[in-house]
Amino acid sequence: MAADATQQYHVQPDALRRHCSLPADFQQSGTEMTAAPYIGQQRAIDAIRFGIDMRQDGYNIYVLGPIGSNRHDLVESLVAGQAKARGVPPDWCYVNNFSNPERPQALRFPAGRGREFREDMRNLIGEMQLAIPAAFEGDDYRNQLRAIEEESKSKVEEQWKSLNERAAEEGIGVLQTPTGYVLAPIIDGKVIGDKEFNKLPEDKRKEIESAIENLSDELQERVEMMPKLRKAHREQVKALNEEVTEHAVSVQLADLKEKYKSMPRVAAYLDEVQDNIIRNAEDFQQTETPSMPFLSTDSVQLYSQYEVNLVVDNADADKAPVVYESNPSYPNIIGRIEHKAEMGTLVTDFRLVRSGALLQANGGYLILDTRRVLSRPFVWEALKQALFARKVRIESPGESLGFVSTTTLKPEPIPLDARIILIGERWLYYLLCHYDVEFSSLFKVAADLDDDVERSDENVGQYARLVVRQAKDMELLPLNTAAVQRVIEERARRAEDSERLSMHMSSLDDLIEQADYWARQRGADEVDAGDVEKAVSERRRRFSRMQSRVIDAIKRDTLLIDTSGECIGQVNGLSVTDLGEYRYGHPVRITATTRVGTGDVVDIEREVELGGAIHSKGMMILSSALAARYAPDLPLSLRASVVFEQSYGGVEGDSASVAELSALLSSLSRLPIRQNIAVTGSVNQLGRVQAIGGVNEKIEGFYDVCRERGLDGSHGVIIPQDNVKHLMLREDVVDAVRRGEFRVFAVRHVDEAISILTGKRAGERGEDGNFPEGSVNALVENQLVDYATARKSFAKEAMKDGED
Amino acid sequence: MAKTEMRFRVVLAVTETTPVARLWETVLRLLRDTPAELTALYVEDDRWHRIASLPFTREILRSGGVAVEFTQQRAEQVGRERAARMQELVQKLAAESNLKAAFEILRESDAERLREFIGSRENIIVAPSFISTRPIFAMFSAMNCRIELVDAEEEEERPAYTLP
Repeated sequence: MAADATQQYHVQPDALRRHCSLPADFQQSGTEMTAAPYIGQQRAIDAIRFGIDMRQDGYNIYVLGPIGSNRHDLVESLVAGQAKARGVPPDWCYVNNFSNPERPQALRFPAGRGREFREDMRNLIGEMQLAIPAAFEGDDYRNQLRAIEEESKSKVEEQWKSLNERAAEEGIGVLQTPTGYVLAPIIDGKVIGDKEFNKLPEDKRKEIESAIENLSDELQERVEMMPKLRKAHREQVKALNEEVTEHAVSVQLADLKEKYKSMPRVAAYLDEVQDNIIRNAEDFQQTETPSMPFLSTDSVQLYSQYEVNLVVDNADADKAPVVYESNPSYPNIIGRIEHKAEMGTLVTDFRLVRSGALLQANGGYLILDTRRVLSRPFVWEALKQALFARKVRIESPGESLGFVSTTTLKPEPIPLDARIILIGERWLYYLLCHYDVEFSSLFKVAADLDDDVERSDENVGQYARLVVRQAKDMELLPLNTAAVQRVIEERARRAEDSERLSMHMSSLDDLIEQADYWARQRGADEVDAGDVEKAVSERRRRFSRMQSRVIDAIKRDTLLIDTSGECIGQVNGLSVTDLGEYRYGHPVRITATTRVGTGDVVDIEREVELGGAIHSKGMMILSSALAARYAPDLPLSLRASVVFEQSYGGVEGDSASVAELSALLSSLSRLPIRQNIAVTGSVNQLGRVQAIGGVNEKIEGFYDVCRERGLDGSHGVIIPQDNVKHLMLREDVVDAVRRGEFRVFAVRHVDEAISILTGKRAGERGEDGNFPEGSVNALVENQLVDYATARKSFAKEAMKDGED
Repeated sequence: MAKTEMRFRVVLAVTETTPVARLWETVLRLLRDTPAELTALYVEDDRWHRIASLPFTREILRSGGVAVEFTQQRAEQVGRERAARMQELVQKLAAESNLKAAFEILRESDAERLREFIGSRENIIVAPSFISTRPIFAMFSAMNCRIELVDAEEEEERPAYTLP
């Protein structure tokens, strides 16, 4: 094939990198401030708006998009607008439940009234602390209490006096033991024993026994009466205390009740407060100092039970809350019940209930990172539970799982009306859809952010204004038009498509910042295209250690890559190594050997488990293409093996299948392959060459190796025609092509590739069913027929040997 | 080094009805004037045993008014409780006066133990005046003890009931 026969496959320099051209005055158009911040994301924006507008349950939103795509800014800006329209949600307080302190009750207030109520109750407590002890210290109270005590005392003394008098008359003494009383006969002022008693006349003895018996009954009656007298006394004192307490607090409480009468639950709570204060009136009588300074005194605890724990305070809000919780741990989302240590024991009460992000966002929007939510223990289940129940139940994870058996608080659940917006990568969304049957019913709205947008004139204009605005927002040097153009070209490169622009915003910011740095380094007051180019090339240089080592190894023939000459069954394939933030291409030698066999094409990478599934698939397609294309009437009678030479890591992808097929065809046809040309592309069963990824890096990788060895105009790379639109090659590569030092060939069929690689026409099957004499395909087919014949003869000989 | 025993001893002779606080001033005065040890001698009355010897006596418990048998065992227990109460009271008074007081319990009828207690020490007996009618007083006198009687009447039984 003549050398110029490859001309038809040459990709012209202009197609190797699509340059950006902006009107020179685009920055003066005054539109930069109105640049749409989220170009080309209308579908996702509409989805988010739909989700936040829907009032029904389950329309929570999952925003799908890669990290760095400005997902948070987009969501927050959209939600912020809606938050104003939605209005300020209510406040929530936890207060003591006097009948069941373990279950604090939740009170709802219009925004701002919760804080007011808390202050009102603080004031009430302050007033009570003064008014109640003062009332108990007053003369009025003391006089009444003294009167009650004297009355009770006189009743008691009356009882005992009459008993003692009667006993004395009968000659009986009432003696006290530590636990009770004993009646004993007394003669001459002395208690007598059995000896003295037995000496008494019988009638006297009977008289004494009878008297003691009667007095015993009476004494028993008196003793039984004592608790009743004591109880009556206590009740009188209690009634007095209640009366005094009620009098002391009724005025203040009446004012509060009037103030909150429009809120039935609050009014009922105030009634409970009043009842409780009156019921426990005696506790308010005096304040004591703590026996140990770190202990709460009873009086402190006494008054603190009327405090208000304001868990949601919207007093200062002017719109619905928009909460982003960057650390969505269980307590931070659901809330927690804190404890404090007292004498080695952890204690808690309603005042130590703390709200989480769900309550803080109640009535508004809660934004969470999916990955973090899923990686924090118990959070996902708790979040779903709250959304299903539409209530937030603050409890410890252990309690919610039933692992805690000790008594703890169970605060009344608070109704939940918050829209949850999860932000995460796509794969997480699909995993959740697949593995969590409840997910779809709770997150009905998927807002799928595009990774890139069409490089239309309109989008380019908006993108340019976005670049200018970003620089301004970040307080960087302004970019001139050439710099913006260069940035946009780099964004196309990032998108791996000359017809699209990457929407990965954090990498855009990085690029602008780094260009700003280089501009400042040279003392400029604006960023130009050279600064952007410098930023790109310096970044590449920072990451290029591995790439340099590979090129060095090739130069030193440690990695065997020929870039000149010809070789049978050996071709330069192209591989891409991904280092996370950076990837680079480099050539890799692929060799093929063939011999008579039973139709096996051995993929050595797969045999040693270094080949991935897609690579194996590519190899099988390649085998099938070979079998279908050549000598279809004969059994495929070869054994071939294909290998990536000096490859010691895994091989994945089918982008080398054109190269692998080319090596096989070379081996079969015995036609040598040009080593100054590398090839990339996948092939289907019909020989059609299909697009692959990383085309720019692959071309540049081979270019770099060839440049190191000296470009002579013979070097080039064969790529799929369908990849031409993805070309955004480095300027130096484009310049080399423009100077005729390097070439890029675009092919649609493997025949085109093999003809470029061998310099021979591939040949198409003629009407006679044969490939043209001397063509690559004819040589391949002939070889396969020879293999089939040989195999047949071997088979016959084998059968003959078997018969013998 | 062996502890040197003091020659003088102030013996505070008390019964379960002795208003011991009334005698304390005299004890302090004596100890101020004479370097001496202090021992409280609790003279145990056998009246609880006499009561228990009667077949019809019952103790009516303060809690609930239940009547239970008043046995000798219970009489012993009451006697011990009364002695313990007195010991507590004496120790409290001694502590308040920065003194140390030994406490001995002696059955009034046990003359031999009393003689043993008095021994060869120089004892100054401080006792309530009402004890002068009791046999123990005669025994003190017989053993030539110096006796300081303090005018005091037997403490009446405390009111059987007090307000809470």
